[in-house]
Order: sequence, then structure tokens, then C-alpha cells
Amino acid sequence: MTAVAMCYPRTSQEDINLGVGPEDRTIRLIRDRFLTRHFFVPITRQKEISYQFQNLMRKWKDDTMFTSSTTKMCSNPSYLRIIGVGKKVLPFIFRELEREPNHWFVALEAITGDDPVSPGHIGNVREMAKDWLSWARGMGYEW
Amino acid sequence: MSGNPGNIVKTSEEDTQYNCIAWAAEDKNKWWWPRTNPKMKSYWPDGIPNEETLNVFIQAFEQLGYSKCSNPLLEDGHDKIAIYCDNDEIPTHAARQLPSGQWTSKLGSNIDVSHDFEGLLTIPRIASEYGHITVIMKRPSQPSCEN
Repeated sequence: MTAVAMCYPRTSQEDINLGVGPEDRTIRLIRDRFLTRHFFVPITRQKEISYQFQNLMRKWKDDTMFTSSTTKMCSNPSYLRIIGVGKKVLPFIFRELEREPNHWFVALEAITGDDPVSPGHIGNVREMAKDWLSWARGMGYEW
Repeated sequence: MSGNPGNIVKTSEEDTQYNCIAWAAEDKNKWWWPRTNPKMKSYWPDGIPNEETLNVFIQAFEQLGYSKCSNPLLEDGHDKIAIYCDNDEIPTHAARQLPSGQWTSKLGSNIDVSHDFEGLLTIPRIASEYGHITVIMKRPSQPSCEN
């Protein structure tokens, strides 16, 4: 009975009413917690942000592929929408910044309100990326 | 010939470290652009206004020893650069002449290419973004400091 319940979780009211004891309740509790914590909420939300970020980043890179103007790069609608996602997008930006240093600095400052770039590094994309990644690690971000 | 009317040849991989203005100024370590917003982290030479105007870009290259000239022809003992502007006369791009007489450009955060003087403008997407060549400047040849 227990093995069957684990393989084929039951959700009907009849099943709940026919619980066979503490073991069955525990199984249902674990199942509900698992589904809630690890599937329905965080993973889908994470996927949504990841998907959104990847799409917006792809569009931003495509739009600004031949652009040297940081003004145009940082006012591109897709770039602004990434800023609009807010702090939840930071791990994805940090991962991308580590993979390929790029002009994420305006977005990072707009989202975090911080500016860890050393004045001597201004204009040097790789060094500015290092400054930001060091800041992110110090703040406890993981990506 | 018809397949590549601008004689555009890729000469590097993509690199987000520097842009066309830096490449024209022979600097592969920084991204040059006026900081039109204080939050922008691009490099712009000290003493030159942070404005996206043709005059300001001319000033930036004057600081490197360039002065305006009238033609893109190869001149012995001289380096030349070309500044491109859009229809509002806002600078969009710069290219630098090679000793062969061909020109070299960094395409934003993308690749470096060599090309004919107006070769880039044979690609519609680039032509619509870069506009037209507005100013040519030259200076006495300097020892190359690339790489």
C-alpha cells in the first residue's frame, strides 16, 4: 500500500479520507512539500526569468551587434527591460558577465544602486567585469 | 567581385573589450565613447566633452595628433582615420587606414574587418546604422602600438 502510494500519489478526497495512518500522512506531506518547493514555485519562476533574460539578451545583442555607442547600447528597449526585471535577474547577469564581459555595468548599477568599479578601470570592460563579480561574491550572490 | 563589393574581410574574432573608436585610436584595451550619462563606464579622453557630436569626436582625434584633411587617398608618411555620422550628424563609427591603403574597422562589440574606403556601406544593415563618412583626418605616421 505504501509503495503504491509513493509511486502513484493520490489526490482525491476519498484517498485523503482513507489515509491509513501516520506513514501515509507523512508520504503525502513529503509529496506536497516536494511538489510545492521544488517544482511548482521556484523552478518555474527560475525558468521564467532565465528564459526572459536569455531572450532579451539575445535581442539586445542582435540589435546592437555593430554599435559602438554605449548610449544606444544602454538605452536599447531589451536592455531596459532586463533592468526592469529587477534584482531577480542579477545571478543571470553575473553568470553572463563571467562568461563574456560586456556592457552590463549600467544595468547592474541601476538594479543594485551600487558602483564597485575602480576609477582606474573605467573603459576596461574585462577589469570592470572583475570588479562587479568580486562585489557580487562579497554580497553572497551565487550563479 | 560581386559577392563582396566592399572587399570586406574578417581579421579578428569577436571582442567586447574595445570598439571602433578605440580601434581607430589603436587602443585594444578600452571601449571609447563619450559618457553621455555619468553611469556609463566607457573611456573618453580627459579634457574632451562627454557629448555625442562630430566636433567632440574631432577634438578627441585632434588630441591624438590628427587634423582634418580632404581625401582618403594613401599618403606616404601619414595615418588617416574616417569618422562616420548618421543623418543627425551624430557620430556612429570610425575606421583607420592601413599601410596598404585598405581600411580597418571594429564593428561594435563584434569582429574587426578590413575593407575598401566605402566598403562597409555596401552592407545595408551597416549602412543604415553607420550613415555616411563625414570627416577624414590625418597625422604624421606614428609607430604602431597595436596589441
